[in-house]
Order: sequence, then structure tokens, then C-alpha cells
Amino acid sequence: MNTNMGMKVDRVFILTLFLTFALPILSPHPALGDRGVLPIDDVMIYQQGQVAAIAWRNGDEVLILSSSLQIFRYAGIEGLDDSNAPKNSAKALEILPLPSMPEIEEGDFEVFQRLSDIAELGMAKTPIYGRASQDVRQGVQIIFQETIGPHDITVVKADGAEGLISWATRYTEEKGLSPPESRWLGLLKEVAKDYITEGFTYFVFDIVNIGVEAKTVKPLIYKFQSKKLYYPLRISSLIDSYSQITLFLITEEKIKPESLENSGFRIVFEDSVGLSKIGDMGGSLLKPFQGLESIWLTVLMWKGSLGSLKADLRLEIGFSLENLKPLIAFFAPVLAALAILGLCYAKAYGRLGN
Amino acid sequence: MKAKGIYASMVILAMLGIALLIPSATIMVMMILSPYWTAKLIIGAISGFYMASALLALASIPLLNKGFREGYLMGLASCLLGFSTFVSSVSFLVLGILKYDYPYEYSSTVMLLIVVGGAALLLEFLASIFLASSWEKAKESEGEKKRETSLEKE
Repeated sequence: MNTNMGMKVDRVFILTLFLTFALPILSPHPALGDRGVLPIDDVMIYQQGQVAAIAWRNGDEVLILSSSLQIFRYAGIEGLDDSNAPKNSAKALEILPLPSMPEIEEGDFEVFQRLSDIAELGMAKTPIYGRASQDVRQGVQIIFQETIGPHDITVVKADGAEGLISWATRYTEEKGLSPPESRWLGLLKEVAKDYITEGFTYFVFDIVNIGVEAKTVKPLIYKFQSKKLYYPLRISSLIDSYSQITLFLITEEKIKPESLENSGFRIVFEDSVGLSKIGDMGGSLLKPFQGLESIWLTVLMWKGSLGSLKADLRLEIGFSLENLKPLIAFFAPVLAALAILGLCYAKAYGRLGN
Repeated sequence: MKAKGIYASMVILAMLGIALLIPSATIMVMMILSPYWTAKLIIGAISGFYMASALLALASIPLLNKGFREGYLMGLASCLLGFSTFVSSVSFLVLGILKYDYPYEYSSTVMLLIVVGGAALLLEFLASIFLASSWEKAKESEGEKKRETSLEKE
């Protein structure tokens, strides 16, 4: 009887010991906006970086976006002739695809500074609403057209990529500029086709001046409806330059880490912040959170070649098992060890008792 | 009479337990406080295995003191677990899994795991030798205990 009992305990002991060592090998999940830029003049454009603040709650998104662009010069690079690029300034067309009709206002840099201070990572607005137009040409309807600060903004609703390209060509000509080269238009057509197929039919066009020195363009605030927290990245792949993207996300709950998978972004800061600590911040960004005492501030960073961006950010918020997995991975062997030592003690003292 | 090796292995297992327990507990606190990053899962698992190894080492000491076989088994299991966890973490580092996929500010966590695991290797080696060499003595000691208990019962 005792021998049988002892054999049973031995089997349990060996099985528990085996399970401890054979705990599943936890493999890592490879983790991996902006506006696209089409050069109008014959220059190479380099995007030094983008910074955006995004507030999202219940389908309402406020996006404050700024990027710094400059003309890339060959001067000083051996074997490359810069003599054909004497321009010190050039025009470019920035394009931002959005899932719904946006409201656009002028933003301020101070927002980024304040958010950066809160995250320890270490500019007033005047709403201007444009005139609506019923001008529909080849499936492209101009929804909004206005000059906001240094920005010459036009929002269009497009039914097809072909029509959008034809409109963009005519648009630059109407502005007295030469149309973008056909290779750029070809790239835009491919990207726009994907967006329109997915229901992203609103495109914001902005004509910007770019110099040889990197200059950060004053940000714009876009307010629109989106089912998920959205930040356009694929449109950035139009220019292939090494860049850095910093996103300040303001949400009601934590970002689900799995929605960041394969994006290449990493979370550098994540914390619950009292709304009183953030302060006024111009009002627009925090308007969706009225009535709440605190929000989640998450800072995401990405570095790499813009040409490699193949998908937009569409983030979800709420409870996620991914946040608990590291703790489960930690406690599983610890609990198994506690079970083993419990068994060992029971067996040793049990035998002594017998 | 206990073998000298048992006393030595008890001291070494205590050192091993403390050496692995403190960094693992520190990493656990850091993981609760830090934001999500992919390699956190692997680092969590590695520090969890080190913590398990530390618990087995510390818990084996009273059993060794009484001369129970389970004390030897737990001590040896602790050494094997610590050793295999170190080999796994070095393999992950060499394969690049722990090399790039964490924010720079957490690189010290990976280094801490590697250094502590590496330093514990010597203790694991010594404890294993002492435990293995005094295994026969333990059997004799347990036999004596059994005889004493049965005599007392009679």
C-alpha cells in the first residue's frame, strides 16, 4: 500500500518537475502619420521628422500634425553633381488621407512641448472654416478650400484614384505651378487606390514651401470621425527618406499593444495623467475628454525609412492580455517551483511520519 | 554525522538563492511599472525561471539540514534550472531576440540577467559537486533516521 502510494507521489513529483522545465517557450511577438509629400519642383525632399498629438474617444479623433521638410542637396557628396539643383526653395504638395470629412484649424507647437514635458522626454489657435464647394470634376468634389497660416488647404472627396490624380495635376497648374512628375503621380495613384478601396475618400491637400534648411511647418488640427485611433503612414512612403516619427496619444484607456504589432513603433512612455496636470492646451485636443478626471498619455516612437511604411496605424484601446503576458511568464515558473517545493516537503515529512 | 559537503552546499545554495532572488524581484517590480515592450515577455520568463531557481535553492536548505533526499533533488534542480536559464538567455541574446527589441533604457535589465546568471554559474557548479558527492551520506543518514523513528514507535 505504502509502496503504491510512494510510486504515485513519485510520478506526481516527476510530472511537476517536467512541467516546470517544459513550460511553453514564450516566443516574442515581433513588434514592429503623417502626410505624403509630392515634390512639385525638380528637387529631392528629405523629411527630418514628424510629430503628432492624437486624441481619440468614442470615434472622435483630434489630430495635430507637424512635419519638418527640407530640400536634399548633393553638395559635398562625392560623385554627385549639385549644379543642376540651384534652387534654395521649392514647392511641394502634401496629402493626408482621412476616413471622414475633417474640420481643420491652425494648431500650435506648444501642445507638443507640454506633452513632452509631462512624458519627461526630454505654441493659440484661430479656427478657420473654409467655403464648401459643389465643384465636382471626374469624381472629385472639393469640400473645403482655405488658407490657414502658411498652409494652402484643399479638402477633396474622391471616388477613384484616376480622378484624384487628374484633379491634383490640374490643381497645381491652377496654382501656377508645374505638375508633379509622372513617377510621383504614379506612386500617389497606387497609394490613393488602396485608400479609396478601404473607404478613405477624403484627401487633404496642402501646398508648402520647402527650403534647404529644415523648417518645421506650423501644425494643423484635424478633427474627424474614425472607428479606431487612426494615423496615416502609408501615404508617407511616397518619399523614401530616413525619418523619425513621435506620436503623443491621448486616450480614455490604455492602448492595446497587439494593435501596434508589426508597426515598428515602440512605446516610450505610458501613464495615467490627471487632466488638471495637462492644463488647457488650447481646448481642441482635450475636448473629447470633458468630464473625465484623468487620461492615458502614451508616447510612441518610430525611426526608419519612410519607404518601408506599408500600413497605417489603427489602434484600439481597452483591456489586453498582452499587458499581462510578461507577468504570467514571470509567475508561471515561480508558482511551479512553489508547487514542487510543497510536494517535496510533504513527501519528505510524510515519509518521516510513516 | 553529516558530511562536510552538505554544510558547504547549504551555504552555497543560500548564496545562490539570494543572488538570484534579489535581481529577479527587482525586475518583476520594474516590469509592473514599465510600459509594454515586446521583449518584456522573454525577460519576464527568464527572471521568473531565475526566481524559481532561487526559491528551490533556499527551500532545499532546511531539507538538506535534516538529511532528506528531496533537499538534494531540489538543490540539484535549482542548479540545473539556473544553468539552463542562463544558457537560454545567452542564446536569445546571440540570436538577436534580446538584442534589439527593447527600448534602450531597459538594456540594463538584459545585462543584469546575463551578468547575474553568469556569476551564479560558479555557485551552481560548486553546489552540484558538493550535493552529488554527499548523496550517499544522505541515504545513510535517512536510513538511520528511519530506524530511529521505527524504534521510537516500537
